[in-house]
Amino acid sequence: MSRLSEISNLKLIVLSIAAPLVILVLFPWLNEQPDFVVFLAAGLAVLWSLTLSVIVSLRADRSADEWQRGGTRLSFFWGGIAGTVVVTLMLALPAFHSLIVRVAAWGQGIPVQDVDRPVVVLAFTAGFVTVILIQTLCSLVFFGFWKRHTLGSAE
Amino acid sequence: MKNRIKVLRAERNWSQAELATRTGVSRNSINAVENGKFVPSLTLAFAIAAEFELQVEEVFDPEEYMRG
Repeated sequence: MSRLSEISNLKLIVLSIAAPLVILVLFPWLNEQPDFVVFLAAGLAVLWSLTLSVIVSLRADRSADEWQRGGTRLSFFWGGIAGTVVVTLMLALPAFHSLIVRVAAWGQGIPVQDVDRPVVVLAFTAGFVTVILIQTLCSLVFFGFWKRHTLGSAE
Repeated sequence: MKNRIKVLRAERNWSQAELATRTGVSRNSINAVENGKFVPSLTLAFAIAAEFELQVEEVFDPEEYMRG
């Protein structure tokens, strides 16, 4: 832990981004591997990124004062909404569909015309919607914890 | 929230950074509170007032804030 505390947040952020990038670079190789290898590699990459993200978040939160926390709350709230709106709008653009399909074709190592375009776009959209739904559910759960933790009995 | 932090700092020849160090927050926090753009917590309001050796209501004027 002491060694970890010596690593700067910037380095941890770079390291957390490195894992998905490695997966992206390994796409062609992963495409030839059995499913369990693909899922294991993707799972480990997600675990790596999430763990480092949580460490950076906790560190930042501990050292933040109330103005910084207020700014973080505001930027997370509106940044999250803005990001969701942007992706939703992008999903309406055929050019964005083409980009997703090209990435899928590159990952599978097949020509673009061989990719099942509707399936790929639908899968991407379903993944996006799933993230939003799960985030909403988790937000509700954490708000429940917050209420239990802060509220006394009503009198 | 309106306040007299700038005047009180000037009287003591303190920079925002100095007041920040004394109250244990960032200089940006003091800047935002001083400019009335950020309403401080009770803890910070009391800490700032204590540094000036004044009561909270002698540093902060909550009237405008309370009217909404």
